[in-house]
Amino acid sequence: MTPRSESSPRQQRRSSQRRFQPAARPSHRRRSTTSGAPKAVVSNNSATLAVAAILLSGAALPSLPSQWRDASSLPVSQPVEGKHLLDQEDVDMVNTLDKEKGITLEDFKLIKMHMASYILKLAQQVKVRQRVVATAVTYMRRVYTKKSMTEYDPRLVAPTCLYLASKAEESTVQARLLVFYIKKLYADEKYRYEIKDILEMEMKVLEALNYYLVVYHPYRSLSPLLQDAGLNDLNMTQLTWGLVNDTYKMDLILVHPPHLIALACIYIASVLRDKDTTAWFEELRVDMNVVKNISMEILDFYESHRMFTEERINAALQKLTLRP
Amino acid sequence: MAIAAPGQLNVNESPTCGSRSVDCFEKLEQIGEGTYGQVYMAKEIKTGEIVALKKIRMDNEREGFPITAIREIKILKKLHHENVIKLKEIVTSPGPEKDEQGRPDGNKYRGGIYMVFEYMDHDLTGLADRPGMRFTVPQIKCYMRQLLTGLHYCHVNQVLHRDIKGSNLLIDNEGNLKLADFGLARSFSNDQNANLTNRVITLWYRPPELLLGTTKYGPAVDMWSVGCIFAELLQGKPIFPGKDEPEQLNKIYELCGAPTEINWPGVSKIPYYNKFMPTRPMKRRLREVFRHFDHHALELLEKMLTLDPAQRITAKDALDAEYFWTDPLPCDPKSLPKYESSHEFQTKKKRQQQRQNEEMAKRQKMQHPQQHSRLPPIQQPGQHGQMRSGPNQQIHGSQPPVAAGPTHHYGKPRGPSGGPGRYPPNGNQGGGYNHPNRGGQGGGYGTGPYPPQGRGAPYGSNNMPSGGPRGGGGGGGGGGSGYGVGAPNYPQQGGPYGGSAAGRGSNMMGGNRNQQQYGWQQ
Repeated sequence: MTPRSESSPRQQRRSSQRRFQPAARPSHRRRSTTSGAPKAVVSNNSATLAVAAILLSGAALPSLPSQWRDASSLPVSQPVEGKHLLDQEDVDMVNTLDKEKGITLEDFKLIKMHMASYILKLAQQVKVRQRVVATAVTYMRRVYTKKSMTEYDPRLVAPTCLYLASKAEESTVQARLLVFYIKKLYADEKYRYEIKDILEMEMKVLEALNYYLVVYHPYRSLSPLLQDAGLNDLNMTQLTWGLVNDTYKMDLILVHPPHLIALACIYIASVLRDKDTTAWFEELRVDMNVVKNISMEILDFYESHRMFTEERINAALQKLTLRP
Repeated sequence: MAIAAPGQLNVNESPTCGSRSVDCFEKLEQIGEGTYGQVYMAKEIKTGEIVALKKIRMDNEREGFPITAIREIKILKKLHHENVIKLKEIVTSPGPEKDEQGRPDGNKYRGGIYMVFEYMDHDLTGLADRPGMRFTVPQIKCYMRQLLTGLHYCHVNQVLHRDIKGSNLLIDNEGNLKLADFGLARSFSNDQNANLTNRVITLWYRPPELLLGTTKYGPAVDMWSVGCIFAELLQGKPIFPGKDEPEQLNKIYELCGAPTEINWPGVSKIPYYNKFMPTRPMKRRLREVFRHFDHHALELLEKMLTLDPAQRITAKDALDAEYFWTDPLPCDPKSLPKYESSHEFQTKKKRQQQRQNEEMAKRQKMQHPQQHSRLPPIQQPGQHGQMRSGPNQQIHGSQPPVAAGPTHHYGKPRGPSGGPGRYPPNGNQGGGYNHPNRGGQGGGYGTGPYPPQGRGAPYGSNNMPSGGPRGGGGGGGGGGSGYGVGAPNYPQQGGPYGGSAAGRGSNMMGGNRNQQQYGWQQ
């Protein structure tokens, strides 16, 4: 608490027209993402096919300078996300309890991907915004960086995360409604959970999240960036939006700053649509290596996507049920 | 609850969760009623650090963790500023649920959840209500500037506080002021296209646009409340003590004039504009009524209490006002005097007890004239049951010491404060402003604690809250309910404006905030 008057406000006054220059934002955070929240109700807008086309066509990604200045001149100011980002190794750590049941890293990723789809399916039933889905999936992924699937059954954690995210994103869905649609979606009794189970798990999820409920998503940076790049036509907007949706099938949101994920999606989309964005990317002061790496991860995911069959997912989930 | 994994022991402090147990703290005393539960002063056993524990009420929750708590936690985890209360951590009470209610099953997972805050000694209302309290001009400037700095920080981070009032402004003995109780706060987007509920902000501090039913609003709503607090600091009493919405609007109109398309373009499109159209022409008299204020103060107040939210001054511009940059300058918070802790919750509670004692004494006197003193304080059933009786025991006689011990209010009092407040809610409406010539004499407030003042001495010297403002114990309607937890003072809110008694802190959402979380707020 250092009021500015102690020295000599008059002097300050002379020196600057505006006397009050507040330290506006929390230093380690960029602005709240609440505005520009996607208003659209979720759609399964996936860019999978379009991107598969890139891979098939063998289009080479344009080479871009890897040396960039700093991130300060981005169209949206993007302070480093800081402590809330995780290292890939920590995200890919399979819990000891799960390992004992034979869960591999592959299984772990498959189950999380499947649960992300489960959340999306449920969300489409109860009609909430894409943003709620994105937050819910992020919660679910955060939970499994700390908790085992053995103790925290994904089939309960997934709907619970949607439930909690709906509250946190001001689109509350009643628990009984979720329970109703869970029954409708899955006949399998392993998915059957009642209201009290969800409410109980909600507390556990909150603790696992350390009550940190704010999630910054790439969606927010998407439209100012597209606009800045002059790519804000409907086609590009839809394509990049779909790409961002697909990134939630991976753990990217836990590892990378959201604006870089958005840039990676723009990068992929511009290659796909044959737009020359090299100059624009050059002007951005971001680490282009990271953007490229994220893009490669996304493309890798699309490539391997067709191998993620239902049988494999079920086999992985089956392991969880086994008694060790 | 999962058991510990093989190879792990269950004896860890918290084997399955990240939160510490509330047992890490020793509760010292209750210091307030929060939006959803009690607030305690507590000591961390390990470090001896004094903190405030705010209990999140989990009963009556069919929808799990209360969304009000989610909002507050989400927002507080995001804000880090010296003028915003710091949420240190969240702790849970261990074991299966066996709390006061003792309901064995239900949706609760644990006995309770507490938010741990840094401890603050006072709140602004509690401090102002201290007997003999007088703020200096540099002190008022210092508090106002901190209030505006904190609020500006919230606003640039796209958070609306939506419950700015004295009891939510906490002050420590270093003179620091921090915004607290974000239970009604929410994020907003700059385009202001989202529909938000207009049923926020404690009535006396609620801006005209909300009273008129608008659902699209922004940071200007908080600035109105700031204006009300500013005037209150200068005037020594709340300036718009309405008892319900129509009266609240009327009080605003009496001072600020009635809204027209000229002074507030677009006002006629606001839902209840026609409903609350004043019957007679009313012109703005703010300058006239407050002409005894310092020139720069009046200038700033004018801009804060502007009817049209679009023309109302922003926190940033307010910080740039002449007022803060002319002599006497705002003082250094550290130079402020240190006071014994005082929170509205406790000052009020003491007053209430005192009043009850007096009433009881009167009654007893009639029945058994010889036993009029030495009566135990009457506790309202089920309200302050958990309070340690210690510090209150002294208030027995018919001439109790006033607000001498620690007095706290964290969060907000519930329901109409009725009698115990400084300001009887029902009597004397329209006092002050109808008699502008009396200046600060507080027309209807009789021998109020705030005598007329000139510049530089906003709180007069004769501040003992003697019988006057308390209305001789009669209090107001609804006085009996005090600030019971969740007292259903507004059990049904049929229309947007249910009937309501007002009191300091009687937020319209009052008792039934928890019941109607779903739907009313977007």
